[in-house]
Amino acid sequence: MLLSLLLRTNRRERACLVLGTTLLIIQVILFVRARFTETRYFCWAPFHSEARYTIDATIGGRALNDDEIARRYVLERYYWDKASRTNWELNAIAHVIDTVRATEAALLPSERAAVVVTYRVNGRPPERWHSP
Amino acid sequence: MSESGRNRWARALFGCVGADVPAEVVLLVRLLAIAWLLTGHALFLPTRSVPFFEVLGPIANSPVVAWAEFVVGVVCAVQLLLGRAVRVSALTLGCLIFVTTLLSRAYFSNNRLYTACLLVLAGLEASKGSKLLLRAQVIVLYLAAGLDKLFDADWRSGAFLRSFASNLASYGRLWSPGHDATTAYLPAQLFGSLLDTTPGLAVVASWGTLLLEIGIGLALLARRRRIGIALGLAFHAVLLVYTGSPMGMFFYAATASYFAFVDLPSRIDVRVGPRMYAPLLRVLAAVDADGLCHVQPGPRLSVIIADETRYGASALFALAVRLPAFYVAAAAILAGPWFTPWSALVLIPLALGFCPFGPLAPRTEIREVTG
Repeated sequence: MLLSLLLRTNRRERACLVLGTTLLIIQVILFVRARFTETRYFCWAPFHSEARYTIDATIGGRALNDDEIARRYVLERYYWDKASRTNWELNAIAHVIDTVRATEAALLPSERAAVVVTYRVNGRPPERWHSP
Repeated sequence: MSESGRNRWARALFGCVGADVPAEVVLLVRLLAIAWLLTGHALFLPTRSVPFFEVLGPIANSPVVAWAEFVVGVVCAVQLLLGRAVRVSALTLGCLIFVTTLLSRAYFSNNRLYTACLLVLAGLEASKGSKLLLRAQVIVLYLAAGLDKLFDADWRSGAFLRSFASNLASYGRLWSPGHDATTAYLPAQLFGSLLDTTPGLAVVASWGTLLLEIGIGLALLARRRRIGIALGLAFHAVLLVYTGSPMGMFFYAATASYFAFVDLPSRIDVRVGPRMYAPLLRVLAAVDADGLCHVQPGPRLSVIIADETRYGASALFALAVRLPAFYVAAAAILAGPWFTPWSALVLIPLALGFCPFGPLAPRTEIREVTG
């Protein structure tokens, strides 16, 4: 079907068709890739998993408070629970960890924090990720 | 306002014919633009965090880039709303959402990216034809979302849904721009407590959800458009009421994308009794911007669309759901700051219109002739 369309369309429409098909193929490739990774970017996995998590960060021995942590990693706190210090992530928790990792990597070594992310995915027992 | 002024506005807001993309595509992107504007997506500068690629670092935090994104986004959305430069505006707004996401990990969300894909593919669609790219996009979305859940052990065992429902019941409702997530919300609380008392229900609901998503994708792929669209609308309406949230652009983008599978009628014949004749002409003059309706006096109200005739209230619903103005009004009701989950009631005329998107295109029969 695609081939017959390519043959009977003009040059502009053909280019549009190729571009559009490429966009769709990228999604399929990323869907397949997601089977081998923890992240779920651009592969249509809404509500793939959910996690309650807490981030603790320390710079030069000083622990950052929750507001400083939220600002540092630009985390939305729509579901922030002050009592338990947990936020709720509705994408893969790997996305939060990725953001923390990338934020720290973009800073000078002297500005980097020691970070611990404690999380529970889908109600399972808590797990922990730390950097460095 | 003068009559010509009113007609100009009606044409700008409801007219779908005349652009260099199919009328259904014009309506689809207009609905996306309404949701983009009314939910506040277009009006707020995006949250900035680290970009997806380090090389984008220098421009990611530039206020000039952020303001350029804001201005271009608003202009494109307004252009789409008014049906002007549809192809260019859709492509630009779609690409803008992609770029904004690449510049900030915090901006990533499936609902915005789906909106971006629909806009880009709408801009790339052929001027005439079957809207192949948009159809493929919708099918990819449902199949990928369903299969991702099928491959996940926590979805198959119901662990995800049990935990999600419990958390949602404690928070209130899902967040969406302009709405508070932390107000107590009865449907979420009821479903949460139902899953607590009946743990097996989580497994049934999980499998029901993932099979439904795959089913919608397969139905649309197999050209069972009415079944696919009906299942999809029911699925998104239930999600809307359960979560109390349109989930950003998700509800609007998902439901609007069904126009990729729809052919708007090119002519609607209306017969109407003498008492209703003049008022109906006035109403249609305001909302039927493409002049689809041909009104003639008759013994009673009847509507004929592609050889199918309806009478009375059924005719009225059938007529209403075939006019783009209905969807523009529905989008405005559903997407504005006045949104409540009960806004989903605006979809009821679709069910009452029975076959809301017009009859299926006649199938071409190929007869083999031998000897």
